[in-house]
Amino acid sequence: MKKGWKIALISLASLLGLVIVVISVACWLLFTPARLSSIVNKLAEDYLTCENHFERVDLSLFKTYPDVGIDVAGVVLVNPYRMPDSNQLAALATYNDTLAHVGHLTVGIDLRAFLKDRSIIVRQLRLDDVQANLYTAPDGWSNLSVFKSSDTEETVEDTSSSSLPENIQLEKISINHLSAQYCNLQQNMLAQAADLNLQLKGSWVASEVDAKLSMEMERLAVNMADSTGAMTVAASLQKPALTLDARGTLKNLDGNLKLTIPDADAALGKDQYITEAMHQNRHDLLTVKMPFHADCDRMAFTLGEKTTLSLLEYDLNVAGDVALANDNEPMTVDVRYEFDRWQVADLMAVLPSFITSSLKGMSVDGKASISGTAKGVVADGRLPLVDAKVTLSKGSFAAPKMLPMPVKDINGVLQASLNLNSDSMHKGPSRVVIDTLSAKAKKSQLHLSGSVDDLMGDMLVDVALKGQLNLPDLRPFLPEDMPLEMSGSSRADLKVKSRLSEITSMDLTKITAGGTLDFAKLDVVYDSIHAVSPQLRVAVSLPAKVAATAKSKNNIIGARITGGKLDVQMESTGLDAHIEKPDVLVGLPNILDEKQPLAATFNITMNKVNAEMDSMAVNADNLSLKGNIRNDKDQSNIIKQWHPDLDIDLHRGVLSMASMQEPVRLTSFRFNYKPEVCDIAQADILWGVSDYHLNGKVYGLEDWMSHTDMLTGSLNFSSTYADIDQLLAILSGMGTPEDTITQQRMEDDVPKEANPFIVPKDVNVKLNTHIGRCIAFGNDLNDLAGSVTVNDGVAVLDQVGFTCRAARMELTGVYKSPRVNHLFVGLDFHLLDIQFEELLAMVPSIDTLVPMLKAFEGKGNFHLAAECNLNAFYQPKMSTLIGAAAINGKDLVVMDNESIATIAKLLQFKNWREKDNNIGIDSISVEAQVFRKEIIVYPFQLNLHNYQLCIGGRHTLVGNCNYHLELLKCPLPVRLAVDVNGNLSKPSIKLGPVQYADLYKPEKQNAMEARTLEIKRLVRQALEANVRSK
Amino acid sequence: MALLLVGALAFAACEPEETTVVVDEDLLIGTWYAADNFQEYWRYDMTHTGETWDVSEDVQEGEGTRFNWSTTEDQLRIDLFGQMGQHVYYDYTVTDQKASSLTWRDSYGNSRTFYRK
Repeated sequence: MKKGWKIALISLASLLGLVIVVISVACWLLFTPARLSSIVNKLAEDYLTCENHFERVDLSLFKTYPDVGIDVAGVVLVNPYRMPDSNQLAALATYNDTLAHVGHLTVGIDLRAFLKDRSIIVRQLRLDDVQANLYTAPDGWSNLSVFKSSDTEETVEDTSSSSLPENIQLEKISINHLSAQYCNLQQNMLAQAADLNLQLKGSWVASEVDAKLSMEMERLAVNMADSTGAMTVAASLQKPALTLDARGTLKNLDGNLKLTIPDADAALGKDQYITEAMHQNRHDLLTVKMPFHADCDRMAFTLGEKTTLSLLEYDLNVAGDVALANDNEPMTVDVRYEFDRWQVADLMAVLPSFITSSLKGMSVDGKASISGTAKGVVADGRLPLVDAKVTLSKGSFAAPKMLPMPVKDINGVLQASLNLNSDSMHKGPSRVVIDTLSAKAKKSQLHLSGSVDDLMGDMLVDVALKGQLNLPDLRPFLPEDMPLEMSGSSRADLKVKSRLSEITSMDLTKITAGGTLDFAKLDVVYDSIHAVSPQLRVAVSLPAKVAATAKSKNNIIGARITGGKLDVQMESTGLDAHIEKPDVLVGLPNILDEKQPLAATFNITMNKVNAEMDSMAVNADNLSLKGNIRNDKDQSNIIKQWHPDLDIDLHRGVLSMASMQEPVRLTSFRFNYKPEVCDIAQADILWGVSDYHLNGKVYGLEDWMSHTDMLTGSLNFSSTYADIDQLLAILSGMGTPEDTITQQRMEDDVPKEANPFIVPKDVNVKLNTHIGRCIAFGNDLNDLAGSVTVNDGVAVLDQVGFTCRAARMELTGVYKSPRVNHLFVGLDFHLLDIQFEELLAMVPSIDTLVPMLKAFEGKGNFHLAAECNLNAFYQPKMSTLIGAAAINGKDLVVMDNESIATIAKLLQFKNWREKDNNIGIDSISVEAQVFRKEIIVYPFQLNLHNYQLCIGGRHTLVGNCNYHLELLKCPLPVRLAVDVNGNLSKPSIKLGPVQYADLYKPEKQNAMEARTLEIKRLVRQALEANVRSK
Repeated sequence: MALLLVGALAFAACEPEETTVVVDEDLLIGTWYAADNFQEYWRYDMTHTGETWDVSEDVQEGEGTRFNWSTTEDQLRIDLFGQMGQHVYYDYTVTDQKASSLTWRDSYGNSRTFYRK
């Protein structure tokens, strides 16, 4: 640099410095601090009512450059007051009668404007070391009331809404080290700020704002109380910081706000919102970043897309429009919000306990994202419409006291539309749509979708639940003492549509639900019942579908169980059943309504059933059960308690029992069962070579099973061929408890080889029989028809008519079994038109009764009424044998034998044989009685060609006899008689005295003879009276 | 021949006359067992009914055969009846009756003695 230039520049700088010094000296001379202080204090006297003091007022050129500054030091405003003693807020506040103390108050004034036209324009404001103490008493008095009232107040233009006074054109405001207390006991609020520093730069000219605000403070505390003095808010913000950039007019202001609260304490009432975890968190407690556009006239704000509210590391993004309320319009919002992938467990860990207390004992985690909008008016009673999309991923939930197993992999997307307004004008639908919600628990998986409408009212739930259930996973949900174990899996597909109130109150009459459960490899053990099925479907419907409710209008629950195979074992009964293609339709009434009896309507079909129980097995190709049951706990036995009304239809069934050599084949078995009556419509049975067809009604089965009443009934029983012996064997002892029979056998000392037929007790059943052919007690019988009655231990064959090879027969038989070793057999037996040799072949015991009968050949009638008790081997107890018999015949032939020849010789028979040498008899009429071992044949007449004989006598079952044959008519003048004594097989036949000379002569017969004929008449009359087909 | 006939008549006239017993029904009431079968019982009731049973065949009282009875002088008429409507009639001649024993004879001349139980 050339020396000349250097000298010039130094000279210029010196000149400039000189000018500045001159101006400063001039100002110092014109505006001395004493003069300025005097002016300010005088002005304060004019405006302020409180004690005040302005220590020093000075001019400043550099502090506020380029503006000239007026620096007021030591500003003190004193306005004493008295705080109430018992106020809790007042206790927290610090009393100070100094309203304000400002270390330095500096105002920068536009120097050029002042020099140009003497106008004072404030461009800068600076406060240093400020302490303020604002107080409002409960009665509204405030220590801020320190300004004198102005007469020109009415003319003051209200410019607050759009601009500041023209003489205030602030470009910079700076507040340093401000500590303030605001105590408003009228509104029960106390706010305390410590060491606040604020920098505001910019301009606000003619509604144009270009400002940059920076504020921070050491601490801000706010306390509020309710009217009783109880603390409602207690907040303390540590080092809050705020920056705000704003540019534009107040109607069109763009800005950017950033608020940071690194740490704080805050309590609402007793709830502490800031937890220790929040304090320890490395992130700032609350951060707000908000770019915005504002229309300050309308107080409408548009939040920028990057607006973020962060609680610790949890960011909530908000964007949209917010218009605050004004005189004409309520507050409106139209914002979008979003937070993304919040880790729920971490969030729960920092949230205050009163929020998470309801989750105590639970473990909740997952990543949650929520996005949505809020639109509408925010005013008294009105809230905006809120839409939210909630996404949950990798969630987990564990609550051992609530859920027996943790739930994991919770993923879901839910969309909610909420109208939170409750007033009638603005309320509207609120709903949640569950796009998908899935979860896993152990080996089970559930998936939920659907919607929930009317969220603010009685929610309408319409959801579909699909899942793959591992049945052992369900076991922990059931009571521990329930004797149930299960394995297998189930695929669930269920739907529910109902109001929440209906679900919570379990009002099954209103709930609509349905779906299917497809079980695979099902293996369930309940108590002693074991059920296994490789595949089983259970379809449930609520309300019940028509098919399941055909019999009852009360049914509201319907279920259908179908499957390929079902095996059921019941250990307690020994039941082992195998069912193919079961199809079970069940209808149930409101099972939760205690006023209604538990009942069910069902229609069950099975294609194939194989069941075994103890020594019994039942197989059926087709079985259907249709009907209903109704529970009545007051009834005595299990059948009455369930009051069944069943239609049972069985086809091609086979019943096998260990006690039966051959199985019973049920070709068709249809019956209706009600508690009062069992109506057998058709029972076609094949057993061995026998066939049985049964229909009719049986009454009182329940009472009979509970041993309170008789089983009664009337049945039609037909058969083309029947093995009666086989039938009796199976019916033996029916209805008599096994232990009773065992006890009887012990008491009677009955050998185990003896198994007599025990007539069912407590049974009164009449069988109207028609049997084409049967075998009974070894006899082959045809066309058996009549009634068989079993009545309380007595079996009666009542006038059963039938034919055998030899004759027409009628039989009334009585069989009783009062004791195992004391059986009773009674017969009223009529053989009509019988060949005598057939009669003897058929009833060999007749030879014992009337031994001479074997000597006759031809047809006759035989009547027998007899009874005898038997032991357990069916051996007769002869001491109880008592009977009467009558035999009559015509045109008989006597078989020739040695005894007859001897008798004929002794009686001097001549020419007594027929031409063919046969011995012909025109008629015979014999009456006999038997008691114990003695048989008495009453005297009977016998016409033998030219001879008339009378024969009578007795013999014993051991073969001894005393018979007397006497000629009543003969060609000879003498009357001869023969006595046959001794053993029947080789009797002694000798002439004897006549005995029957006057027997048939009423005028000569004695009392004994008359008595004999009377007995004969009585015996025959009694016997023949019972013949049905005369 | 005539001598033989007279002799026969004389022999017949010398046979001792059998004393006729008038049956005392009061004495008859009670239970008797047979001298030839101690297990065979007959019970005569005041109502002119009765029962007979033989315990040797496991037939107990109440399980035996029922009968009606009546007496005329020395005749004891027994009408046994069964449950099928059949009747069996016996007319016995009482030849000896004591408080503790009873003897009858049937129409074939066979006697049986019973002792009071």
